[in-house]
Amino acid sequence: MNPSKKNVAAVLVALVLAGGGAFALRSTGSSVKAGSAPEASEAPLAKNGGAIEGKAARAARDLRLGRSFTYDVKAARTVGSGDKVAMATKIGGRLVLTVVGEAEGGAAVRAELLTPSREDQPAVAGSMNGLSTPFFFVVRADGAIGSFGFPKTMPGDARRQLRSIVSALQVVTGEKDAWQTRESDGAGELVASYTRRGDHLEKTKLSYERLRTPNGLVTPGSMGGTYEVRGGAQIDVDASGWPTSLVEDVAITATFQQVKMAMVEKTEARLVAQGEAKELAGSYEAAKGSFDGDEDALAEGAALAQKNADENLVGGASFRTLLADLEAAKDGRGRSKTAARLGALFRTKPEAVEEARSILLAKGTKESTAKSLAAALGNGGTKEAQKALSDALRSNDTTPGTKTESAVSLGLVEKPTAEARKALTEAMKSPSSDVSDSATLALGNLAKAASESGDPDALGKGEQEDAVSLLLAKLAAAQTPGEKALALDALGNSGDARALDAILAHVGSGDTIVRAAAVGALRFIMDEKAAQVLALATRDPDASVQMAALNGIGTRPVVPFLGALRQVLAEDDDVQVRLTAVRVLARAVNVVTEVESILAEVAAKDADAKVREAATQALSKPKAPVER
Amino acid sequence: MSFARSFAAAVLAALAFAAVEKTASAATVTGVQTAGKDYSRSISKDDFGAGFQLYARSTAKDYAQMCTYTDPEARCASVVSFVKPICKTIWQAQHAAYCAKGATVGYSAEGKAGTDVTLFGKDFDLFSISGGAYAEPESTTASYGIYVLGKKIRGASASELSVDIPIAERTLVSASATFNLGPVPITVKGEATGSLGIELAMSAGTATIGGRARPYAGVDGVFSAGVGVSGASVGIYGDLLLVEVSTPATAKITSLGNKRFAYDAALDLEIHTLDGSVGLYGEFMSYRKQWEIFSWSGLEYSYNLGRTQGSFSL
Repeated sequence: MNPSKKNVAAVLVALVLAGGGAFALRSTGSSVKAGSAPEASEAPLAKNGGAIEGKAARAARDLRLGRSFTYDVKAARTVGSGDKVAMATKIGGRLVLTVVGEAEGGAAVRAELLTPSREDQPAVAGSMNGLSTPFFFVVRADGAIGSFGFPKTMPGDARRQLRSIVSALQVVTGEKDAWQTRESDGAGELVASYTRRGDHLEKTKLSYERLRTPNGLVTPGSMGGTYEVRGGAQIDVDASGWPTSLVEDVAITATFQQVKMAMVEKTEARLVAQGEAKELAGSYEAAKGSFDGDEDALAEGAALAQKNADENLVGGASFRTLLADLEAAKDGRGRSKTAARLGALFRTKPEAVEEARSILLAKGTKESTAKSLAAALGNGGTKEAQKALSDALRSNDTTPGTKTESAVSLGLVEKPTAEARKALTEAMKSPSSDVSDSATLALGNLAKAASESGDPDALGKGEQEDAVSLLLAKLAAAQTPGEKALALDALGNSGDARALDAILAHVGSGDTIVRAAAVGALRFIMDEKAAQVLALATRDPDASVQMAALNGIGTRPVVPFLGALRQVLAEDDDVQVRLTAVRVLARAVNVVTEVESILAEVAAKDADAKVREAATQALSKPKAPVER
Repeated sequence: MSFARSFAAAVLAALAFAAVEKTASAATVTGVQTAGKDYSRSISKDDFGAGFQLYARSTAKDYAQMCTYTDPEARCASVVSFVKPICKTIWQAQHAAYCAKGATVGYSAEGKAGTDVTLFGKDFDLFSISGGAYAEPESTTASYGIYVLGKKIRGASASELSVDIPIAERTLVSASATFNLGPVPITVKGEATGSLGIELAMSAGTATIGGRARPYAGVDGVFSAGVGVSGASVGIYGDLLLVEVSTPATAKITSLGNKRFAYDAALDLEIHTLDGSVGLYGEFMSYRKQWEIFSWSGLEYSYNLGRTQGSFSL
């Protein structure tokens, strides 16, 4: 057991919103003593947490049913970078917390912000909506807040702001004078440390271990970023165990995709009244059926953030404006950005797809414009965009060049539709070899995307299988090396293990083009046999086959292939093959220690200066701070 | 794939190769000669980088010698028993094919450009573009292939090819993260967007094959950001060039008879990379505040890597 787990395990009794005492809740039935004065000595100790002894028992928490505590709260949140503030929010009011019953794993507390006030820079539309809506949270036996329950009608922004305020008041206690806990808040799961001096607690937020995302809780590293937190809270508690005052000052710095953003959270709370609200007992049970799950609130905000990111990229431009920009762009740089902006427009404004479709399909449209639109619709990737691309593939008025670009686009969408599969299947019979070949390759790409998308609205499993079956039939019918290579390339794109036997039947072909295509087709098939063949094919007499094998190895964890790579680097005469091996190894620098020793040897001893330089450059890659 | 399957695949691959290592000294690759020009370089800044691998080359093969090299008994002699069937499968078919060609030769000319990029600290095999011509005793073929992130998106083969294959500007790879900064959901997204293609004129005559290939690509970083709060605006501004590369290459090989070949290869190269700046902005009611996140001054390389000519015998 690691130290933090040990500390968590040592937390005997849960505390909510104050430290140093015992969480105590009797059932909502007769055993709950409601309506009496909050005296610490009367509060029973939690059975599941174990006995509270010594200092912890000294400040037992009053969590009797109906007990109510009112705080004046002021919360300030700023988002920016460094000392530059891009957004600021101030929320104030009287936060009333009332123990209202038992909940799974702990106690239910009703929260309501009375007389709320709010200021935002920039102004936020409807910012007051939902701020005074009562909501609930559950305190688990380990002292952490386990979950929140928000009415379905409560806006996501109000949920997140109120959750942030309540979470700022969260305290998980320990038995001694200093301890660490793992707790959660609106951003994710964090490790915090506490120290106690009498009735004063000092809380420090140490690190976020996992972040709340639309895909659940994930580590910052798995998202390719870092998330740092500094600061904490000063908390005074009285004999009731509830805080009498709290001042939190926390700075969070998130760095993702090279963008660094900072949030400063300041929260002040002062206990101004205690009382009884017996009439609220049972309100949690009564309201529970109308709650949204926690993740729903996040999904709403995340979807809005993603939509706003797209809208910011579009910058208010219309389809016609962006199309004119695209046609007028003098260089690739301008065209690239406009293509990305068009894709964002298609994601946020479905009506723009219809405009693009009408131009794409019009007989007189310049081919370069139509091809750019086909690519931009692929960037959009929506169902409507895929429908437009499918129509372009079928149209008698579009050129083979436009059809080819449409096929490429459909092969690269993340969530392909059945419509796209059907259109590509039809296009495989096109009299234009450019169109039919591109559609064949795209069908393989589409099958892989469908298997990875996880979108129930995307292509079904049966249709994915149909696509692979069609490609297998194409391989079986292929006569020339070119036809065989094309079908193998498409099956390779699919990464479908059902194609393995058919592919393996060609890895010994005497025709280099076919053999290279067959070995290359193993790159996405994560199978034992495929791995064996890739390792063996690094010794193929033809460099193009060796490089196909090395590229296939590059899609996998490199460790099992270190022997093969070492031998290629030590013995192969072909400089390009050795350079490809270095390229494969370069991706695992900072991840696998042995890779660095192999590259160091190559950098020192390879007969070719270019290979030595490539190895040296690979070794100079900056140490990655993120997980791979 | 489950962890167990991955692990099993890893162990088997390692065992397979351990077996191959034992036999490596049984026969060295003979009967293949290559000559040409190549270039390799990688550059990185912060969490971004680009690596290039380019070549123009000619290759000739002596099938009689390759028949000997691919003898499955020799290639798989020391292979452990459970890998032997697949080892023999691979080598037997090749061996039969090469031996059937008798005392003939094959030769090829190829040009290729491949680029890896590192975006946000992650490595991507961004694109690979190649073209070549191949002469076998029984046929000649010219072909090209364009790959994005390991996926083949365009390709063709024919007896000869003279094509200009441009792929229109599109997003090649994107990475995004959505997370909560305190109570504020934030999305940041980066896309590598650009165009790529190849101009190819490859042909195969009775004794000479080869031609000219010019793979090219221009890829930019396009960034965006948004917050999950109605009415508020936080975004990204700026332009970033990730890579712009053009590599005219010529490769030609002529059979002089008696297993002698003359070759001619040339490679030029223009690279422009890691140029531009990106910043963050917040829009307030009446004004906009912005500040730079990072800025690169750009790197440009223009090389005439020269021409190499000569001859060799198999």
